[in-house]
Amino acid sequence: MSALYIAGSWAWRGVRSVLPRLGIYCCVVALMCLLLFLNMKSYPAESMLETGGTHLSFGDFLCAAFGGVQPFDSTMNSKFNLPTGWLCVCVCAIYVMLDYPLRDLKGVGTNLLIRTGSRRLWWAGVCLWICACSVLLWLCTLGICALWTIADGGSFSLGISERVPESLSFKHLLLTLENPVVPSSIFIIIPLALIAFGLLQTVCAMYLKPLFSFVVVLAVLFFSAFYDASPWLLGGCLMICRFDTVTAGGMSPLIALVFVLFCICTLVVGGYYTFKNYDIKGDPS
Amino acid sequence: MVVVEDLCKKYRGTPVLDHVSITCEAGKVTGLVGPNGSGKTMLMRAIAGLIKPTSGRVLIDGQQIGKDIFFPKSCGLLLEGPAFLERKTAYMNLKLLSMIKRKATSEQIRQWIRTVGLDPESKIPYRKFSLGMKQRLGIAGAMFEEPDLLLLDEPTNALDTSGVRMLIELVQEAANRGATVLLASHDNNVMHSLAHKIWHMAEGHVDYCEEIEPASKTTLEDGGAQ
Repeated sequence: MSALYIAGSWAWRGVRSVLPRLGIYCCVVALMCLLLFLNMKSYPAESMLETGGTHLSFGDFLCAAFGGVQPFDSTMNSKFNLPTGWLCVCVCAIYVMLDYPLRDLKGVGTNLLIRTGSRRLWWAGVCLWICACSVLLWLCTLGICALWTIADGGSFSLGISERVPESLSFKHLLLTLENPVVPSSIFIIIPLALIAFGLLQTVCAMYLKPLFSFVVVLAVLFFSAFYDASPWLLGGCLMICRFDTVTAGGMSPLIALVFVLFCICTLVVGGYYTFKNYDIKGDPS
Repeated sequence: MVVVEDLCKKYRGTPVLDHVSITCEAGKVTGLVGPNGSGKTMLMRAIAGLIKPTSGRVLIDGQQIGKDIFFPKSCGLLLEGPAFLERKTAYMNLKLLSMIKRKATSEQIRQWIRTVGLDPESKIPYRKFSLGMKQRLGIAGAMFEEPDLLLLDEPTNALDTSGVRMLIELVQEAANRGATVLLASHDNNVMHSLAHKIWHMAEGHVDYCEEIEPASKTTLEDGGAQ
C-alpha cells in the first residue's frame, strides 16, 4: 500500500474525529456575523445610505470573523481593546486541531504506527491532517460569510463598508484608509496561517502537554493582537485589518505570505525531528 | 532474536530503566516478571521502538532500533491493554490494521476473531465489549498477522479460564512457528507454563534470570489459571 494512501487515510480518520469541534467553530463564526449584522442594523438607515448602502458585503462578513484589531499604540493615548470576537474565532479554530495526533497515539495509533514502520509517515499524516483541517475551517468560514451575504442581500465584493471597522473596533482614526479593502491574497494567507498555528501547537504538544501548547498558541495570538502590524508575530496574518489595503503602513500581503510559508517549512522540519525522538509513553491522560 | 544491551532510560533525571541487558531467543517465550513500576512495560516500549533510550541499544535480528530501523519490521503488540476504534466492530478494527501490511485476508481475519472466541459477524461496536472481550480482540490484533516478534504485556488481564487456555495455546503456536515472544505477566502459572527463561526486574533493572527446565514446566491442569 502506498505511503501516501496510509498517511491520507490516517488524516481522513482524524478529520472525521474533529467534526464536532468544527461544528462549534461554525457556530462561533455565524455568531460573529450575526453580531456585526445586528450592530450595523442599529445605525440609523439615513446614515448608512450616506456611507454607501444598508447591506453588508462579503468582505464585511469576512472582517466579522478575521477582522482583528488595530495595533496598540501607547503614544496615541489610545486604550488597548482586546479583540474578543477575533480571539474567539481563532481559539475555536486552534481548538479543532488541539490534540488528535497525540490522543490517537495513546490508542489505536500506536499499533498503526508500528505497522507502518516509519515515524516519517506518521508525521506526514499529521501534516496532511492539519492542512485538511485548516482548509476545512477556512471553507466553512467562507461558506458562512457567503450565506450571510446572500441573506442580507449584499454584494460579493471585498470592499469594507465604512461603518464596519468602527463596529468591529479596528478603526483607528489615523491609520484606517478611506476605502479599505480585504486583500484578495487573504484567501491563501489565512488558511496557511491556520496551518502554521496547527503545526506550532502540535510541535509544542510534543514538548508540553496539549493543554499547555494550547496556552502557548493563545499567548502568540494575544501578543499578535497587542503588538504592531508586523508579520513576525504570526497572529497578525490572521487579521485582515493589519494588511496595507486596510491600514496605512500595514504589512504587505506578500511579506506575510513569505513569512507564513517560512514558518510552515520550519515547523514541518522541526516537527519531524521532534517526533523522531518523541517518546510514545501511552499514559492515559 | 532480540538483544537489549545496557539500556538506560531517564525521565527528568529519574532512571526508569537502569542498565538493562536481556536477550530473547527466536522460537522461545521469554518472560518478564516484576512488581508494578519495575520497568517491564517501559522495556517493552523500548523494544517496540516507541521510546528512545537515554543510552544503550536494542537490536532486532541485528538491526538497531532508532538507528537502522524505527520499529521492528514484524511486530505484534499488546501493551497496557488493547486499543481499538470505539465505534467499529471487531472485524472492522482488525481489517483497518490489516490494510497497512495486507498480510492477512478477510477470511483469515474472521478466523482469528473466531479463534479468540468472538463473533466476526457481530455488529456490536468495540466500545460495548466487556473487558474480557476487549482483551481477546487485543490478543487477536497482536497475533493475526503472525509477526516475528510478539510483545505481550499482561495479556491475561480480564481473561477467564478458557481465555487463558486459549492464550497459552496461541503463544505456544507462535513460538513453535519461530516467533520471538516476550511476555510480561503477574500470573505465575501462565509464565511458568510458557516461558523458557524469565527475567526478574525491580526498580528499573534486571535482578536475575531464571531458566525454566522443560521438566519443571507447569500446565494449567497442574496449577490452574488464576
